Amino acid sequence: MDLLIQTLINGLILGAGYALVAVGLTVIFGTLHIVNFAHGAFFALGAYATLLIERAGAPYLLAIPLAVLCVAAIGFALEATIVRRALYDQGEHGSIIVTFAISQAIVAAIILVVGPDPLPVPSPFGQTAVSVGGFFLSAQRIFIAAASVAVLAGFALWLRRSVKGQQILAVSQNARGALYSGINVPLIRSLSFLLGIAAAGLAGALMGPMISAFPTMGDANVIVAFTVVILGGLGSIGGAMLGALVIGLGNALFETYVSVSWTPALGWVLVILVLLLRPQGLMGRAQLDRH
Amino acid sequence: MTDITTGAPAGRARGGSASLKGAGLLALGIAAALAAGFGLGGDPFLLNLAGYTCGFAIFALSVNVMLGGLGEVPLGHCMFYGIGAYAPAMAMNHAGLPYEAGVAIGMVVAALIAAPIGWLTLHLTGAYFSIVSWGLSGVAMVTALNLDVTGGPLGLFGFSRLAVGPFDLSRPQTYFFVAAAILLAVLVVLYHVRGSRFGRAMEAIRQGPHLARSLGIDVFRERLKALVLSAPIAALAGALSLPYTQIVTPEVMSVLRTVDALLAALIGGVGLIFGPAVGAVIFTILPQFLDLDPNVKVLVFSLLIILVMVAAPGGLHQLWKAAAARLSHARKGDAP
Amino acid sequence: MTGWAVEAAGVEKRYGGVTALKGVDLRIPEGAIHGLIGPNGAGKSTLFDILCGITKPSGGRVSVLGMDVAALPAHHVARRGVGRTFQRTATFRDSTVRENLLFASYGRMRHSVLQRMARAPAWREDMAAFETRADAVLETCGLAHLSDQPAAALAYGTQRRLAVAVMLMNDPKILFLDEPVAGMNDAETAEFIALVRDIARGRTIVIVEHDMAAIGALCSEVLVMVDGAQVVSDTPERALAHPDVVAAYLGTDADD
Repeated sequence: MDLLIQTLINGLILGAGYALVAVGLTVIFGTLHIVNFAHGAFFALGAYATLLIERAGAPYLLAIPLAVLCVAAIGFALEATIVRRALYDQGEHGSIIVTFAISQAIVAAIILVVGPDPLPVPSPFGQTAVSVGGFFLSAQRIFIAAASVAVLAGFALWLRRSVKGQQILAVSQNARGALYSGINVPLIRSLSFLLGIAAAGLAGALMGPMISAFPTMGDANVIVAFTVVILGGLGSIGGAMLGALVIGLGNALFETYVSVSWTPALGWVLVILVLLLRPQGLMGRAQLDRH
Repeated sequence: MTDITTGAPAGRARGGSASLKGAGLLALGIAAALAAGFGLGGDPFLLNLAGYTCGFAIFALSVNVMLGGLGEVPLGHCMFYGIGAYAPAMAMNHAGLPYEAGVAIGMVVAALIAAPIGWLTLHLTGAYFSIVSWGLSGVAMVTALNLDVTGGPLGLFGFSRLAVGPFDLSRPQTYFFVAAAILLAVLVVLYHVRGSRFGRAMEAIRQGPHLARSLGIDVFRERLKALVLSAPIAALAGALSLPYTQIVTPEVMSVLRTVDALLAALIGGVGLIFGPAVGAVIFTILPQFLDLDPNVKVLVFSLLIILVMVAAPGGLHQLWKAAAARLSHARKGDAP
Repeated sequence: MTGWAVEAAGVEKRYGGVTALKGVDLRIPEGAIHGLIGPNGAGKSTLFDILCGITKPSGGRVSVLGMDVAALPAHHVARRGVGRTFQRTATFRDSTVRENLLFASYGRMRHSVLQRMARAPAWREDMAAFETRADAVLETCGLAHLSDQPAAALAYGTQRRLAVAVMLMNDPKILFLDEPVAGMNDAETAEFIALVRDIARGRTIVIVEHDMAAIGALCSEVLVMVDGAQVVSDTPERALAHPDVVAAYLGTDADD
């Protein structure tokens, strides 16, 4: 029983971390209609930026926002030079290849600049464990969960209340209608791309101390994020948050009760099952756009 | 995309020139292979690398059946490559079968697996298909890591005799000539596929699936045929990598392998029959001569691909064609 | 055959909570040129897609050329003599005019890849038959001199003629044209009207169109749809004079 509760708590915390990555992915899909295969690379960039800023002398809590800014700046540069030209309203296979190539380039660049080996990301919460009602939790995990929930809640509020947030929602529901009603759709798309990338960077900065930084650290996470996003319905922010918790719990339970060595396949199997069993919800939009 | 018609006789003058052009290209390919085979001066390392490159070119061609043929990005195609590499390794090490039998088994298994996979996944298009495809290769890789028959994370090695009939592939020159001959054979088959009714159906589907369906083309069936055709070709490519690598590990199914092939196809030109093969040669030989670090290579080629996609989605040759067209326009004045 | 190319009764289509078609009845005699008009969002495209077998109706009976198109996959419907053009992606843009026709003759060819490799008689016959047919179709559509032009490079009106040529390769018994003259200039429209009259011999043609002049010039009868239901079915003059039709178009572009 204790093991189960411990597993569930771990799963929920894992889910909160996934939610950040998944929300970023879903915001980008919702407004740009591209699946960002480079999302995992930006996650890794977030962790490495944190690490490098910390090495320069900044404390972890200051390094996080700086790292997010760095990742957002790189995202902005890529958006302005590549994504804007190559991807919007063009064929789907172009966006898959370009985002994948961006991801490969980032991973290769990380290896060339920092090296291929895993590096610990220092965190003041790193070594401490907190006992809550008899269950042990690492302080870093609690911090991840708290920060994710706070950021996601703030983001949801911002989407509802702010003009720009409303415009993002409008573009993701009906880009043409949004254009006709005077919304600057290209600007909103750029903004969404930046926000999505920043969310991935933040997730990397938060999870870095827990899993340490390595060049391909984003892969496993982005696979999970695909599952989450597809499960919740591509483009749906609430769905992504809920999906993340479900997948987080599922992963933790599988790892504890079934097998650790097969856990990497679980994400893939889930993503395949979800796509095969629920294609109509996902395909609906994509097919309407053709003709 | 002139290739599609060059396959047709057209009943007229252009027909003759088209098949002549095809035969000419084939002769050129054979000549290039012979020149490379003898010209590399018996340097075993380069010959081995050239043999491996031919295998990689076959894989790029297989990937391009999906990419250039259907407009899909088969991220998980490395799974079929991996099946092709594991099958002869397992046949030799566990069953004592000869290499050729293992290759044949791998190709048959790849086709047999591709059929149900395609039946399940080819209703999906675009990013959804790519994600599922990637996912299946991920599952395959984890499976190879966890099973005993595949040797787990260490993989399989210490093969008995890598030979095709009398041709001993452990001799670098023989390896290269066999691989080059198979590459040319694959090129010839794909050339005729493209000029056939099936090839035209694929091209029609790539350009407009709805229009294709309204012309009576069974879109799903043709897409399935394309996958079932490309899977054994990928397996053949995987099998041909063994003499070079001498080992099969789960890494063989890494998505990076597919990405390499995608890059090769995109650089060479997805709309051209031989484009992916040319791209594969550029992709493996150039870094070798420039002595590039593998990571620099990935970086450079990824950036190159982004450039290609932004500036010339059909391949580098498009830049050339565009320049040539601009020149001739300028000369002719106003074209219709 | 009953003498009716299209017989539809009580056709309904619902998408989730939205009802796009509310029980439409339609009968088109064989050999007629029939119009389908109505304001945007009236359900014309949905009805069109249902008649071609691309979309399946939620209710009602649809018979085209005596086939139950609701029960057949779209490519089967197409193979049995139902052709249609699209508003967008009406041609294979990356290919030449001749290649477009090659793609279109898929259904008339039988050769396999092996027969192609061996240049077997089956392949030769297919290609010879294609050449004959393509020449005739290119002639009919006034495209003979453009055979090697890329489709994307053609003038807009010419592209629409190519879209028709692509469909003619399969010699459809019924041809659906989706807003064929939209965006054409007057000269192109006149040319296109002449083409449709020409190819209408021995064929039924159904046109969705906003251009009332083209509808008036071509159609013997039009079905007017508003809000997913039919308002009237009559000759173009009388249908357009119908008070309900006038009301539906009022404030939109009734006079064009």
